[in-house]
Amino acid sequence: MNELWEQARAGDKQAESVVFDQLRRRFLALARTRLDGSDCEDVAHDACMVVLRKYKELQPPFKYDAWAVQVLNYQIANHRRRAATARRHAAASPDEHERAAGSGPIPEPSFLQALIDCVRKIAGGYRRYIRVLNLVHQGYTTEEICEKLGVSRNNLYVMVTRGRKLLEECLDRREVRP
Amino acid sequence: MTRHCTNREVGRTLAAYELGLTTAEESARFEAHVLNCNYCLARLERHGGTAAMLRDHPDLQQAVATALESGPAISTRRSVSDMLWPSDIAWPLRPGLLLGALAATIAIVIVGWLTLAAPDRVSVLQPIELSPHRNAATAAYPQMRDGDALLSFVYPGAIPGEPYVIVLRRDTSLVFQLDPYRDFDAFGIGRLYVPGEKLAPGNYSLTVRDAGTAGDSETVSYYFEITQP
Ligand SMILES: [Zn+2]
Repeated sequence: MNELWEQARAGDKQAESVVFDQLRRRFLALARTRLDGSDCEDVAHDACMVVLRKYKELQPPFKYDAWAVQVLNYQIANHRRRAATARRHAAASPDEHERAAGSGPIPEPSFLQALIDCVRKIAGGYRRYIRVLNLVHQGYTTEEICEKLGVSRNNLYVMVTRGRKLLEECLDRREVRP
Repeated sequence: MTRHCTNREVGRTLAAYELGLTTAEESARFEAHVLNCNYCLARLERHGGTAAMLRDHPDLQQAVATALESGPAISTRRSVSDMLWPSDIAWPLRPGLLLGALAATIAIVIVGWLTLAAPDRVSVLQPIELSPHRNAATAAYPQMRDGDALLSFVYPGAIPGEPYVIVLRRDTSLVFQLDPYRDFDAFGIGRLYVPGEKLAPGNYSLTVRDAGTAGDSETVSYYFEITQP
């Protein structure tokens, strides 16, 4: 993508449009791993706008990709801070409570149920993955999780990759989407 | 979906990244990688939003805690059997049947090849299809005097290229151990070619587990018997 960045920077409008189409899609995919629902679209859009405003000021050669994801991460952190503040205010004034209680849309009930069913099913065959999820929920760090399970970091990554694959296959069989 | 990851070393951290398990440096590398890898992008998008729910949704957290509390795990046999013969898939498409058909096709092709292309050889390749819910009594094969065996077995969720440990035992003695075994295919099916002379009559168990884990709960065992010819 670096070549496209350079072309865009040199004034190629078509290259610029390609870069930003690609970036928006990728930012959205990354944001969705970190935030709830529709907020992701706003965050991805805002991050793209910042990149679009600033990228021409950067002096080549420059690692545009690494910088672009830093911009996205800054937007995500900012969004989280704002959401936390909104929740605190909502807690202080009960009328607002309903609005700020959930930070995103409620997932499709059928998808949530399918996900829960798949988690239960995997607990039967690959309990270790469910144990990892449980430790993540309890706030343990990666090092602590490795120690509790007696595995290396590398093995932990293989375990969650396998668990994810089982989950994906289970959801595919149910033909549901979030 | 694009067929290959442009940097497998980084791409393999995807699942850990989604759960927030990667280091800051690994996360930054993965994020920059996604800007250039359509394969990883497609994997993220395929069930986009699932990771955030899995991590943060209170109902999911509750389901995970309950699943762990609810006594001993359902036996792996039953779970793998469910995966081979899931009731929510039309029976002609069930993985167990597809696996059987695949193994039969391989056997026919190999036997055909041996017969047509190598008429002088009398050895045959005996397909031994193993699934965890099958007990030794229904998986008995006569000893191969001049032939060899092709063992095929399903390990649900196996990731091609990742290391697993495979142990074959006759009664209680070790026949061989493969560590690491990296040859599972995209369907989670592993295959082993075993020379006939290694398979003397007796009761066999083949066990498969993830490399680096010693937990019994995820060890999958397959049983078969080699009988007197
Ligand atoms: Zn990749």
